Amino acid sequence: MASEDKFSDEDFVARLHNADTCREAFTEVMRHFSRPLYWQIRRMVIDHDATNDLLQNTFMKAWDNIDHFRGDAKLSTWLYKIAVNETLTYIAREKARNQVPIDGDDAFLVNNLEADRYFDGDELQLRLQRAINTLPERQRMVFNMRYFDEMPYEQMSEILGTSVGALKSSYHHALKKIEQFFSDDD
Amino acid sequence: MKKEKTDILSKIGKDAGFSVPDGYFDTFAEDLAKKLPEPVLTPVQPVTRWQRVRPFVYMAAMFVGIWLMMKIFDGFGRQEPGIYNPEILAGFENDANIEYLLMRGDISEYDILTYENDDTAMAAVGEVTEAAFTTAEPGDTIMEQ
Repeated sequence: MASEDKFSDEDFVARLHNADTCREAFTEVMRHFSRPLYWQIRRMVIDHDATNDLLQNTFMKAWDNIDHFRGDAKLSTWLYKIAVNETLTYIAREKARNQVPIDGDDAFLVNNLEADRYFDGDELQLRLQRAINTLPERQRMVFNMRYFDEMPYEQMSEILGTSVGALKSSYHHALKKIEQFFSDDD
Repeated sequence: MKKEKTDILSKIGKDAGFSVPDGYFDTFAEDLAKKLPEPVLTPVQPVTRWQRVRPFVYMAAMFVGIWLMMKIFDGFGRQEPGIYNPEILAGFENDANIEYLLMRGDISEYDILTYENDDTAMAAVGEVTEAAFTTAEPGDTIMEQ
């Protein structure tokens, strides 16, 4: 956490706003945040190539708007917000392309998971992905952030703009639904 | 049942089963950094002294305004009544003067009640009347009528 804080301190923000140092500083940012952001996106969109594109778009957007980042919020929160927006936009586009109703679940995203060369999970992990993808998008995001990343609710609240109480409730419901999926499947 | 269900997640653990191409994260940042366009940065304007002190000045002005408003409203509610004029107060010692003042309309019965309930005014009357009577000559009136 302390290493994340350095990206929001005044010196680092000043480096990001200096034409001579901003590229180097931003490369440090990408080096640090590419992994957590990648996994956040990947768990939502499943496909590696799509994740790679969305991750690049996330950093590109951050770079284009680096001038507006003044260090008032944490850099990580700002980047996560961009990544979340990119991800949700992508899923909405894919739904339209696959003719899935707007309120339909995202099960179509895991249809080809078994054949994916970048998925080496076992049967149980595949079933978990199927279970997770029956959840509504926001609930799925909450579950992924909490279960896989163990992100604090306070940070999730800042990223998703939802109260901590609502997030806890959402996570609780997600757990119930996943457990229900497994018991129905058995 | 609950235990059994929870066991499923604990059996799976935190590994979702996804993988990435070899060395993907090692080169990602450097590769993307090469593709970044020239940055568009606006020079940061230095913060002037006025911009620094402005919030404090505004806050002080607000308090001064509130204080002035309180003084104004307080002034409306507490007008000095004529009854506290020492000469009139002295006249209150004499019932005939009170009746005269009542008749003239200089004071009302409400003023008399207020005056009687005001310890400060009573004390003032004591001082004035005492002074007036000790210096009065025979035939003088305490209050001109």
